[in-house]
Parts: sequence; structure tokens; C-alpha cells
Amino acid sequence: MAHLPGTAAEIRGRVPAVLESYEFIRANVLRGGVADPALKDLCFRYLAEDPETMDFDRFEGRERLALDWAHAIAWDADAADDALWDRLHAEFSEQELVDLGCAIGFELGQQHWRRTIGLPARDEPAQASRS
Amino acid sequence: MTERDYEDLLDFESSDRFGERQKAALLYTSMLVWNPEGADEALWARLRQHFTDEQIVELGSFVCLTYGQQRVIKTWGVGHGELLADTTAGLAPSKVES
Repeated sequence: MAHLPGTAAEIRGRVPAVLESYEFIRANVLRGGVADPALKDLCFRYLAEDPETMDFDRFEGRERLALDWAHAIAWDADAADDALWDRLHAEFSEQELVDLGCAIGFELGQQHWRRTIGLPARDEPAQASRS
Repeated sequence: MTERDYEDLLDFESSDRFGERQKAALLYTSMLVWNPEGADEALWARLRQHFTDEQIVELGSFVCLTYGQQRVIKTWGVGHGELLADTTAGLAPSKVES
């Protein structure tokens, strides 16, 4: 049961500055930015423990790299060792790395916040465009 | 905050250095970071003894932003104050002007 009534957007809307800051981040980092949005969404699904993303062996190339980094960010910072950074730098520009990493961090925090309130980690697709 | 306050942070519930309002905020922070599903009715009742719902929303927003970005920065291997510590980078414009 949710501890506050309403959707995530309605709850944020109780404090206009919170809603405004989230909408800025969503537009410019979570959905916008320089890194591939599909790659970001894959990482966000992993953070939300989507079963289709949990077996990293199903992925390769940039997808596998992004998931490895998302795992390090969420669970094990030590996994972001020199070998992982060498692979990241070989596949992504520094701008893409800043954008992708910050997007994963923002989404990780938002998903934890939503779960604390009693909401699912992510909205259903039909709701996602509104929140 | 003093050095002792920082030392007590990880065991804030048993510390006499924090008030009940601070302890409620710290428990909320701990749950958000480590155990979001553990944020039960008891926690929310405790939060509401000290904060309005709007304050809880704002506090949660601050904590989740800080938590997420700290996790990213940890993978960068950059310690607190190691980069741009002698500049105004990262400060709000109002702080830079003052």
C-alpha cells in the first residue's frame, strides 16, 4: 500500500520545486542527453530488476558494458575497476559516460524513493509518459 | 556538525547526539538507501510526528538525488573534495554571489 496518495508525478507535485527539478532531469538526462536513450532504458529496467535484463550473458557490446556499469553503480562500486573503465572508454565518449552514469544514478535514486513510498520502481508503460 | 556527530551517524538510533526529528530523518534516509520496502507504517507514523507530507516529499527527493549521484561518483574513484575543491563549481548561484 502506498504511504502517500496519487501517482509519482502527483506526489512530486505537492512540492513544486521537487516536480520542477525532476522534470528538468527527466527531460535533459533520463530521456535527453548524448547517450543512447535505449541504452539508458535498458539500465533502468535492470535497476528495477526486470527479469529480462538479469542475465548479462544475453547482452554484448555497449549494452553489456552499460549493464556492467549499472551493476557497479547500484551494487558494487569496486566492480568499476581499471578493466571496466578501459572497456567503457573504448566504447563511449567521455560525454556519453558522464550522461549515462548520471542517468543511472538519478534513476537509481528515484526508484528507491518510489519503493520507499510504496510505489512500483517504475510506472507501467501507459503511465510512464505522464510521470 | 562535529567529528563526533559523524562518528555517531551509523548508530544514530542509540546516540544522544541527535534529536528525535533528526533520527526520524536519518531512519527515512537509511530505509531509502538500504531497504525501501522496509519503510512501513511505523516509519511513516514516526515521520509524520515531525514532518508534513510536503516536507517528507522534499526530504525524500533530496536524499534520492544525493544517494544516486554518490553511487555514480563512487565508481569514478573520486573522493569528497578531491576535484575543484578550491573553486565555486557545484555551488548554487546564490552561494557563489554571497
